[in-house]
Amino acid sequence: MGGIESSIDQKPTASASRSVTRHTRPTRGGSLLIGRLTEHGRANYQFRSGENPSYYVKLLTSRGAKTLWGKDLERALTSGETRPKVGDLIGARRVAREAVTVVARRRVAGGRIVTEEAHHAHRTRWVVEKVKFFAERARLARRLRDEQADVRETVREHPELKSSFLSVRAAQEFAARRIADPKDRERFISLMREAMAASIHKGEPLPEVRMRDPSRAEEVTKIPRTIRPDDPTR
Amino acid sequence: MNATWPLPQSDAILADPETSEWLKSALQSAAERNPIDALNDALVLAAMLEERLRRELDLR
Repeated sequence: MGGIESSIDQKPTASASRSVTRHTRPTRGGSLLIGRLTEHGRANYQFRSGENPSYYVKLLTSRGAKTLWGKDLERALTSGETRPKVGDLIGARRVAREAVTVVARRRVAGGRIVTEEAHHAHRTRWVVEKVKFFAERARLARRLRDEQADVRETVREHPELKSSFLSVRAAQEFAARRIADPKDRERFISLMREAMAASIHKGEPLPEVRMRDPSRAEEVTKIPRTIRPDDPTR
Repeated sequence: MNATWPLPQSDAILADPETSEWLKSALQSAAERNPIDALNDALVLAAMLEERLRRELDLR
C-alpha cells in the first residue's frame, strides 16, 4: 500500500508577514479521515526547500498512504485529549477555518516601509485523536440528541455534558420567554440541540461550566460588547 | 519533533509476540497467493473493515 501517496494540505502563509486580524468560523465539518499514524513532524510544506515551515501527518489508510499538511496539526497532535503516538489508529478532522489577514511589508534600508499589501488567507484548525475518542464523542452526541433522556442521570454518568445540557435548558427558557409560536419554539430548541450535538460529534472542545460570580454580575453587564465585522446587523 | 513508523518486514511481524493470531494467519495464507490478487483482496478487506468501524462506532 505504500507506493501511492496522496496529500491533503493547507498551504502556509508567508512567515515574514504579520497577521492583523483573525476570525474563526466553524466549518460544516470535514469528514473524519481514519488511518494508522505512521509519521509526523515539522518540515517545509510538501518537503520543498523553498516553501514555508509547516507540519505534516502521514497516515496509512484503507485507501493508501495520505499526508496531511497544516501548521495546526502539531498543536492538535500534542495538545489533544488522547495524544496519539506513531502506530495508533487515529482520526483526523478539519473543524474550523480561521480567516487571517496578513500584511506583507517591504522596507528599504533604514527601515522605512515602502509598500504594504494585505493578503487574505485561511488557517485550518484540526482535531487529531485516537479513534476511541471519536467513538466516545459519538456516544455523547447521541445522549444530547435524545430528548427523552433523563438529564440528571445522563449528567451523573457524563459530567462533561453538564454545560451542554445547561445550554439546552437556557435555550428552552429563552424560547419560552421570547418565541410565541410553539412550532417555532420547538424548531429553535431542536436546532440548538442539534448544533451542539454536531459539534460534540465532530470532536470540538466541550463547553466548560462557568460559574457566575453574583458580585461581578453588574460589573460584567456594564462592559460594552465589541462589535465584530461579521456580526449580524440585527 | 519528528516520529516515524518504519514498515516492518513480514518475518518481523510473524515473530512479534504482540502481533495478533488473525494477522499472522492472514499473512501466512497471503504469502501462498498471487501477490496482485492478495493485495487487491487486502485493499477490499481494509475498506470493508473501515466501513464496519465507522458504522459500529458511528464515526462520520
